[in-house]
Amino acid sequence: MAANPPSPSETEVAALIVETLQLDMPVSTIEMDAPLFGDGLGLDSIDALELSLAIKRQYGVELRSDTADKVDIFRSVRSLTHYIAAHATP
Amino acid sequence: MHAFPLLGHPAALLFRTPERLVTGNDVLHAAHALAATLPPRPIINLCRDRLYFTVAFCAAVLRGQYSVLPGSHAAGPLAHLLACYPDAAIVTDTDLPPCPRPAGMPVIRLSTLHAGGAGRPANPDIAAMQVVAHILTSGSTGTPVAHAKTWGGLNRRAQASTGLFTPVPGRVATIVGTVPPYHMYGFETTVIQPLVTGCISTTGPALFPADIRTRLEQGPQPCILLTTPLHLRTFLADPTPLPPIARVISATAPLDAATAERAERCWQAPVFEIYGSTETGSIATRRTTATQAWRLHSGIRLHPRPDGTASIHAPDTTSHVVADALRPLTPDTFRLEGRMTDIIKIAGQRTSLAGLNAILLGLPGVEDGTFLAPAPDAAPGQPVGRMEVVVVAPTRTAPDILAELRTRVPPAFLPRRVVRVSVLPRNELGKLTRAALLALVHGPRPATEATAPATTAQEAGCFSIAVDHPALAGHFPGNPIVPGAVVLSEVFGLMGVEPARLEQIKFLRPVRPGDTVRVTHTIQPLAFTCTVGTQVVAKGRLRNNAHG
Repeated sequence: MAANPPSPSETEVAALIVETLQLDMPVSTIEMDAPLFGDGLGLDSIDALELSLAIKRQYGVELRSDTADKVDIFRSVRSLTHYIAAHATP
Repeated sequence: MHAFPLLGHPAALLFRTPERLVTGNDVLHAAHALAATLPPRPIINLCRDRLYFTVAFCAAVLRGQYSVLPGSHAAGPLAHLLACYPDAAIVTDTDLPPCPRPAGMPVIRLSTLHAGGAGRPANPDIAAMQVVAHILTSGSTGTPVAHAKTWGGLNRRAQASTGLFTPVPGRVATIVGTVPPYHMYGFETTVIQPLVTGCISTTGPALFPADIRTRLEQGPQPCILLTTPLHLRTFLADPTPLPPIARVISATAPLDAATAERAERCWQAPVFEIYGSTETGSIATRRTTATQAWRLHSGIRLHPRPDGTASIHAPDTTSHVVADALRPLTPDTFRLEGRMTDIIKIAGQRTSLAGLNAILLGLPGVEDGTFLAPAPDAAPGQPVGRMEVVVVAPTRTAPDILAELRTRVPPAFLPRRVVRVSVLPRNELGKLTRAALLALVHGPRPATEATAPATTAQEAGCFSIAVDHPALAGHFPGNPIVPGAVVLSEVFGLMGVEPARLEQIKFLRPVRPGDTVRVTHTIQPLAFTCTVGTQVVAKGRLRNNAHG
């Protein structure tokens, strides 16, 4: 059980992940703190690439590997949401 | 006995890191320094950085040892690999994944490279027959199989590819590779090619389009974008222009002509494909938009076999039979007539469909099922293809099955969708055809959701399948019957719903080509009926929401 309910933008990012990667799971089952790669959702680098394009289209935020720790950005839905929020142009 | 120097051009620039340019002599200095610290064992080369990987590879060669290249860095496959090489030592530039390793296996961590000093480091000749690498592939049972690579075989192949890696005559090119150095394609092109022919290979991240832009900007020009069809399609979907590219090289899966044309138009650069395999290395190339004829690298000979496949002969390597159907056109060219269907390649990794299906069918509650590989020729701009699973498992849910597969299947092959059906569209021989599965899984996306619930049957429309429909090819010769999956695909198209919602389907009578099939449906419950004349041929029920 998550202690905090997901904020709307986290749910939005989770929905973007599900839609972009055509994951066969309801958004509500994605844990906001669970790792996206490896043991969590089991995504890989091609997923990260596809996700980066969707994020750029939707939020105008461009991901790059060398400006921040990519591992940190994709650590979880929460960290990805934080990254987008911090870099989105209002 | 012949030999080739470890570096073809030691004074040349061989690597472009985000910070600096690295010469061949820099690589040699660092390799000699590392070699002096290595135990007398083969090394398992887990370095992710291309330069560190190359230095570790060279150090092992200098010690007369070979490097084991992992197929995957994931904990499960890696544990298996370590167990297969208990007498090896690990060299890595990152933290090891948490996986068991044989007792006493040394781990050498590379955090910096020896900067070298004055003077010219030794650049010894390496015997052509010296085994310098073991590259692992998944065998048909899923167990990794090692392929030994000799220095002579790798060296000659790199020399034969010089033209491909020289897009501007007389100028040294920079290879911006999006593939890792530890798969055969990336190993040959971004590690061996610079060592042998003196071109430049870039290090640093090369995943996102923004990364690629940085790598291309750093150059030096002219640059080659060395990548895969999956990466190409996603790069093309990004609207931000890339710096100049002199040539695009693609491998690991067939590149469709439309994507190749789009890339050539977008980047004003010719697109070349490499044909090869882990066993043979790259053996041929072609410009995708210009010809279907693959040109063999010089020195490579192709011997056709009665079954349509061919054996490949190259100097300093053992001959190998490719399982694809190859038809020789001239002594130097061939046409690829068909790919073997059992081996699935995604993002440069490969596995066997039979192996994946064995895992699926071994799950409790799974009565029947199959993995469905993505089409190799997805349209440009479409999401890259991923595995899907069609399964008969009345007691299990799709997320359940996915969760179990996640612990057993490498991420690249993890299905992105699990479609539950009541029965697989097997033909009368019990075989599943790809066309039938695709029709079952890929219906059109819903155009709009129904707004008003209704309980009365509505007319969805009519369809008719022509005799020359591609799904009929080869099926039931002399007595053509429209596969159930094709019927379903049409129904879903007319109703505008996703096939994943299918809950139950009954085919009551055969549909023949040319029959006019009328489709009516109800919203509550979501169900449909197909009729031909006055006879009901199929009935089905769907879930009312996508994940219900």
